[in-house]
Amino acid sequence: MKRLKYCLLLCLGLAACHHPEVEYVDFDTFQVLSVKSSDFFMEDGSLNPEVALMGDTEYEPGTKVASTQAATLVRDMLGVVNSNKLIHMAGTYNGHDTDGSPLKLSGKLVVPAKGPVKNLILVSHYTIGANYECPSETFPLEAMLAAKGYAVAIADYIGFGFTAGRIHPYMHTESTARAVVDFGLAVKPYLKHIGREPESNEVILFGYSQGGSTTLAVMDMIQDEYGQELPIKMTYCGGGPYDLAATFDVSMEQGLTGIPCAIPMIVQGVNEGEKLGLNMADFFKPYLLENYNEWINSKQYTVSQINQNIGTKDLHDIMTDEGRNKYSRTTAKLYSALLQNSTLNFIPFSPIYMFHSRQDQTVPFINALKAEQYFKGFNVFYDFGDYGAHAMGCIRFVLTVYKDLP
Amino acid sequence: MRKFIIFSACTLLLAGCTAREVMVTDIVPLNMEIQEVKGSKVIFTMDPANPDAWYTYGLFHESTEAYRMNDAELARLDLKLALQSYEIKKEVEEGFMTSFLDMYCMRGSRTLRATNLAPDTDYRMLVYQVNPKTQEPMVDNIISTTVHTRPVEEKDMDFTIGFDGFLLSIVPSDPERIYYWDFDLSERIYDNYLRPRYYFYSLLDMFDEYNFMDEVYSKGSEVYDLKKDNLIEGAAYTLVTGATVDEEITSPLTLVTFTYSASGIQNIRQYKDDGKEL
Repeated sequence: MKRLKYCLLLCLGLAACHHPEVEYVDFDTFQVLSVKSSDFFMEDGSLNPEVALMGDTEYEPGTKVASTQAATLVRDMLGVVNSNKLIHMAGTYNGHDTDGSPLKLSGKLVVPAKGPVKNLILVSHYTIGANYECPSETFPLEAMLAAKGYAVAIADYIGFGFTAGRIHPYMHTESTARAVVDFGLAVKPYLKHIGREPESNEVILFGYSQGGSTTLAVMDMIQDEYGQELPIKMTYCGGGPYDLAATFDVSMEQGLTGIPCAIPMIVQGVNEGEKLGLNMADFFKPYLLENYNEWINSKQYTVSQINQNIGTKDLHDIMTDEGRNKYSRTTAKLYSALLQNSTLNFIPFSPIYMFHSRQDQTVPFINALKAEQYFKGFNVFYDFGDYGAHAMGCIRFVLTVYKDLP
Repeated sequence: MRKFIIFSACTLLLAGCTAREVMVTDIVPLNMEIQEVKGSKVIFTMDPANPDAWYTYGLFHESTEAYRMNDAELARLDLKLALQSYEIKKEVEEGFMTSFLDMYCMRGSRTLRATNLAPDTDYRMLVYQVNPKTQEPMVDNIISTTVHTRPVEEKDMDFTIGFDGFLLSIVPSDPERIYYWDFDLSERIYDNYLRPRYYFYSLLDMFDEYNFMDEVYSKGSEVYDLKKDNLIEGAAYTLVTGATVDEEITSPLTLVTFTYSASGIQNIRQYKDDGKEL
């Protein structure tokens, strides 16, 4: 009995570490299990240490993660917040699987503890590896936007949160975008139910990195299917791999990748999403083939840890010759799917703010140039500059959007 | 105090990065080089001596008045029309935020593709530097040339397109000729590309740009399971198919519109891109 008590205490302690101040709900039935809230800043003005920041995505042996610098930046550069106390609601909603069939998914909704809610912001989150990093399990940095009087909805993609046992269809635009849109459709009535309906029906879209590209896919999907339910006011996207095929070409030409873990994640993710039936042995070198399932699909390792496990950014060491050749029979199937999963294939009907750091080695700058070329003549504001590495770019992007939001 | 210094330094750093806007008004060699002229496109590279210099370009069909204007006059007219179009967009679009330069001009080294051109036709091609302060062409820095697009021979080719449940079958009249096909939401094709032909061109151009056409074209009969795609219930789709050689359209296009429903494919209509019903 005593042992059981210890176990219970330990479990509660662990849960407290990973579930800071969260209200658990079923967004479809409005069933609330508990109500909690947390502060974005601590009493001494410092950033709440529970706020999850993007870790270093690039594999550079011996370098320290950027999150320490990032936390300093956030702390020192933020102005006044409208509401420091935020209410977190994590829960489930009815979404869709990669084949379109119904699937229960999870996500996080954050609102200011008091005051009116201006708009709903749909966030597409960046690449993560471990399940404990997923939005429903953490206090995401993007929740900062709620402090300015917005409702922020961040969906867990398939493969995280409630569906952590599934393979994440990484960079499969249809299913990742669908998760974000479905969550948006689920939280709107829920916000009304709890008396926090936004003053404006218009939604704001936001995402960085994987989320940047997904955000464009979300915009495209909403324009095509949900223009009435979720009219778009503004889209903010940054550091996104909008053109996967161009990214593949650049990486193969250089023989290097800025983010080694993305290789197995993309190959198996697009294979899963598009049901290509690829054999991973055709793509991965033996040591990666033996370990990728544990490193990627156990959802125990962060992006940085997976990169450390892979231990190299040389594509010749990671991928087979066949896997690196887009004209080989198997890779051609993958490459064709990469072309189909480009998010530069629609006309935007509302403004886009696009951000990219020229020094980004994780998501090469070619993506921003391709996007600029594609969106020439449309209402897009380009903010391309020397903003440092990918993770630092993320912080700058979030802060810039935070400042830009009224 | 220390916190204030860090705050100031970071703010200055952020301001310095976001406010970076260099106004190049002196003449910069633009270094344009035509890489390839095809039936429907011209591919060229730009490598200006100063990456901050703004420039733009235009191609003018042989039958237009613009084709015969002098360089300076044409550049002025080209940019004036662009500016007018920009002003209209700014007026009618809510939350308009793009600058004129970002919308119509370019900076830095680029590979550019002028597409949707007519085959076997003369085009006057103008590349010129733009003064970012006045938003006028720098008429002393104009590259003017004429390109003649390659002839493309178009021959008849018919396609028999049918549905068996959710299985789509395409049977070409000539099993030896290569062709390409794809489909998308009808609304998207007309909204984004105006005409199915431009949609088809854009797909061929994409495969050309990525040097991937040989991997995706079809030859002989094809069967495709529409269930592979997450089609939208009740939505209308348009399928476009046509013969291709060197990423050019070499037959009249065959179009099929259909409505997707979980109970089956409905409202099937097949026609040529000149509107003739089949």
